[in-house]
Amino acid sequence: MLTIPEASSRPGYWLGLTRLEADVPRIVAQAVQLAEIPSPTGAEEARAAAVKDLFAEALGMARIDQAGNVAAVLAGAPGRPGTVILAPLDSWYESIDQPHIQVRPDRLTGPGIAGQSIALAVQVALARTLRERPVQGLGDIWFIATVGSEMSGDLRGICHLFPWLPTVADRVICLQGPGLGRLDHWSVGTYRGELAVWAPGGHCWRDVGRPNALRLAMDFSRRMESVPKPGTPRTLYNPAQLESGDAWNTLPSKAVLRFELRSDGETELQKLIREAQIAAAELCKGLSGCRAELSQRGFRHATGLFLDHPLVIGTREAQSWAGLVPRLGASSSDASVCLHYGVAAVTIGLASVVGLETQMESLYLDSLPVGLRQAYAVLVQVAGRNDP
Amino acid sequence: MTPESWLFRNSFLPSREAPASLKPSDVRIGLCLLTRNAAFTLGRHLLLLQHGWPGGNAPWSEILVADLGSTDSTLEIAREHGAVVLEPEERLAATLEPAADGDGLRRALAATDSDILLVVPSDLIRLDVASIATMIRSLLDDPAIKLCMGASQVDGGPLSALGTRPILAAIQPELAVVIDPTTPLLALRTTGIRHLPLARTAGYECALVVDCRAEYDLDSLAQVRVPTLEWEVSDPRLDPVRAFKTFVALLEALRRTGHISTTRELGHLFPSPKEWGELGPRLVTSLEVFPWTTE
Repeated sequence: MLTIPEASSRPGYWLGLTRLEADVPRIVAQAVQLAEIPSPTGAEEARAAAVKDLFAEALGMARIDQAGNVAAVLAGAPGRPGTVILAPLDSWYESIDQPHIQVRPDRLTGPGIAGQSIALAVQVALARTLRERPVQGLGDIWFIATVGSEMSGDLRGICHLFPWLPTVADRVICLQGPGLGRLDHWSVGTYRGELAVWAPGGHCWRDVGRPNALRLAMDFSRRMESVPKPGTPRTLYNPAQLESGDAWNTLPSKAVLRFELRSDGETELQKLIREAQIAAAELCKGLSGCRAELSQRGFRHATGLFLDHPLVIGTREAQSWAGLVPRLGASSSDASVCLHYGVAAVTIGLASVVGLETQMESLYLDSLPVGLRQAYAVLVQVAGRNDP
Repeated sequence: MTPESWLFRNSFLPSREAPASLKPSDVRIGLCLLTRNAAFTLGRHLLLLQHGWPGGNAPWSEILVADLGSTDSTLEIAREHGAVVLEPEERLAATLEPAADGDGLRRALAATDSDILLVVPSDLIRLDVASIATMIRSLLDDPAIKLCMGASQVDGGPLSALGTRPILAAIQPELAVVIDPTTPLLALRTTGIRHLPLARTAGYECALVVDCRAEYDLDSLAQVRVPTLEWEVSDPRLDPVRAFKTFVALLEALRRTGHISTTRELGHLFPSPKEWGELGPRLVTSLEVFPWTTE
């Protein structure tokens, strides 16, 4: 990993940065256009096609793989290690027919603009800049827009890139819209579970005393709440969704509880998963006609890079140089899979955002230039490294 | 040209290749946005039309914002984006009176030095780049075309389908093949249109189609199917006052071109109590078709 003085002394560095900074209006325009293509998880095709066109325009060629990821490569100097830069294709919403982005002088507002689209537009702009104003001595840079990065996608896009990815790159930078100064070097261990409970059902008055599926699901949740959870490493149980019931006067015959277990520590996460499995197994003991099933809907290990890893040190340096105060943290993103497979990865944010994952998600435009400067510097530092 | 051959030769579908095919050339292409309190949408149009053009090179040699009496930050936004702002001559009156789109276009035509002008009402929420590029492309490819209309929906919308097209079908049948004669999304050849009579009010478009046909021929017109126009509030053509103005402007154009005859200009049939001058009743701002006295 290059230091900032080393990176900035590479021929082409400053020309590229100037070019990128002048490209802000185009980045913003493309972010708006991409955000207005509905792209809920599992239906990213239209946005993927648009991103592919943008990469093809920027780099001459791009392709969509079997999973739906868009990939393009900027060939670098031979013999240098490769780098992957990722951005998510899918938006948080489940279905919006035609998202509309409001453009105001100081901000962009609308679903998906800050979470994903700005990262995609910046990714394309970095490709365009480094193609038109090459920085000397960089290795291959793979630009990949991934599908399935949101909750229901369970990172299927990035998972599809393994085991191929480590053969072309050993450093990964994940771009995300929100969180200027954010430096996520740790993957939050996550278990997404779905507990389905079946009971005989019946009438609430006539069949009083029979087991109630909804009540059983709530018992499970109560038990998980009561499991002691350490503050460090941070660990939590989050009941997220509960579906049950048919009518006012019936005993629910089925309940489905979706929940998440999270922890910064792998041991604590595994302990909590074990507790959930025991609780599910014991839930219907002695109750006739009842059954409970716990299914895993997603999983990410708690793992990451320590603070003395060159990628973390270099990214912090680039953020400070760009004028940001680095905020070290953990998240659950495409980087989680890379870290799990032993590929060094960090996630950085690009802009100041409010109202994330709402219809009024807003991105403040005055924060974008510094976010761009940071992304460019990190990319040159990483792609210009000599060490394998 | 027969209406059938016109449909075959001068009706187009949007082409995805059209935006990238518009490269800077000797032909100057201008963009004219008609605005009235368009702070909500104008910045978006200017951003996307300048910087979001596929390929990165927007074709505009100039961007005009013809204001129709805005009282919000529309003009500031326009200037921030580097557009040339054309303010109404009588600003106070313009803010009080209904928007006069035709007057905005008249000012734009007087100010522009572009060969082709794309006219866009800025209270549209979205613009389909492929469609507007195809409209411009049609003018570039065929010098005979003077006016290209962005035809919205299959039937052109209620005002066209239920109002102006039946009138045209009865009085000037060959123009009945125009899907959406009231569309406010236009691309025009400035040298061919500048000297034509132009209704100052909203709803000038259909009259312009009649005048263009009368001055040149059917092959001076073209149409491109555009996706359904989405408006910030609602389609202004559904406003009864605007519809009324459209009909009067259309009837006046038909009278002027000799398709119908009346003893006097049609505008005088609907005098406004606002202005009752020495020469008799006269509509000035709510309904004025220019030039009134050209015979």
